[in-house]
Amino acid sequence: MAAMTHPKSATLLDAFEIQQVLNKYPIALDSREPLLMNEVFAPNALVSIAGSPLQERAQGGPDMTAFDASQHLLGPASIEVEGDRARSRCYFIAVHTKNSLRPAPHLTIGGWYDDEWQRIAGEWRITRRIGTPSWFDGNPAVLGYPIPPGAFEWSEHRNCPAWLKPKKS
Amino acid sequence: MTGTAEGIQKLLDAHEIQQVLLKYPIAIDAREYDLLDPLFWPGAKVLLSGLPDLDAASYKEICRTNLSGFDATQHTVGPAAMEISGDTAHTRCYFIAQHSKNALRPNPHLIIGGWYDDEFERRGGVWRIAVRRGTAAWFDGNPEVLGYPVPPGGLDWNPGRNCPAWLKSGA
Repeated sequence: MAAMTHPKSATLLDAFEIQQVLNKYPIALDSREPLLMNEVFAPNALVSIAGSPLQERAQGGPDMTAFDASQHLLGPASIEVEGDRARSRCYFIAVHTKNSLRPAPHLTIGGWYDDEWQRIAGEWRITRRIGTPSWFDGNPAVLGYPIPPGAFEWSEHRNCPAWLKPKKS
Repeated sequence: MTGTAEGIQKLLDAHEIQQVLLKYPIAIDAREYDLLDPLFWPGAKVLLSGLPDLDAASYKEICRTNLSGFDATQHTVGPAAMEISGDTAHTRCYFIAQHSKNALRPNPHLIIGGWYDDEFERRGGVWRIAVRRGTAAWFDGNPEVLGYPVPPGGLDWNPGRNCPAWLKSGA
């Protein structure tokens, strides 16, 4: 730490650590390592995916064992750090695959995660996650969707989050 | 570079530039077009495949007019390759851009893959884009979503497809 002499070096480290925690989430899901979720989310973290009610995260997170493969590819996150709190938005493209549905085994979803962060005992953890799908393509039966491929209806979380809006001067 | 203040400043520059690149998709996909203003210098050139040469202001107006015609867009960008030299920087970042129009179901999507080549300038301690060139490499899906006159596939090779000069080996 002695080398970190720049006044903004703390922000840089925080952003790096937050990005690394975010990167663990797809690994926990897609490699089916539910205990790794405990290094991503705070205890009692609140989660809402695709408009579901905001509620305490299920232990281990969503179960991907129904799929022959899943892959949640994340883009790098837009991040704002304020002391021991932070907010981020990161894009995802998530492929879900069920071979029993061949020749149309895939469903791909695009969207983003809006996360609120807290530094707890020195470690950054997500305290609140809103997952917002924007569109999907592929076979709706993979996830039991009642609608054909296309864009999802516009919802509140399709908007720019308040913390990212340009400040009116 | 000794790993002290100078090195950290370089990392901070890279972080700030990367954060500008990441706000761009949020501005256009969440339709918060005023968020484009702090990303581009006034008069910045915006040169995108398939569009006339624009500046930051005319690009913003085109976004406002055209993007509301989609039920969703998502411009997912990858992490950028960059070179920082004093108060200027060059970057290339990849994108995969989905465009969806539900009225065209059962073929509502057109997805484009390509990259943005950006020239950044730091003025008054702030990094913003001075020149953006967008290059499409391929597209898939329904050409009608964007009114493309060609079927899905690779797009014609053009100078933007080459390795940018700043990334070429000096050998």
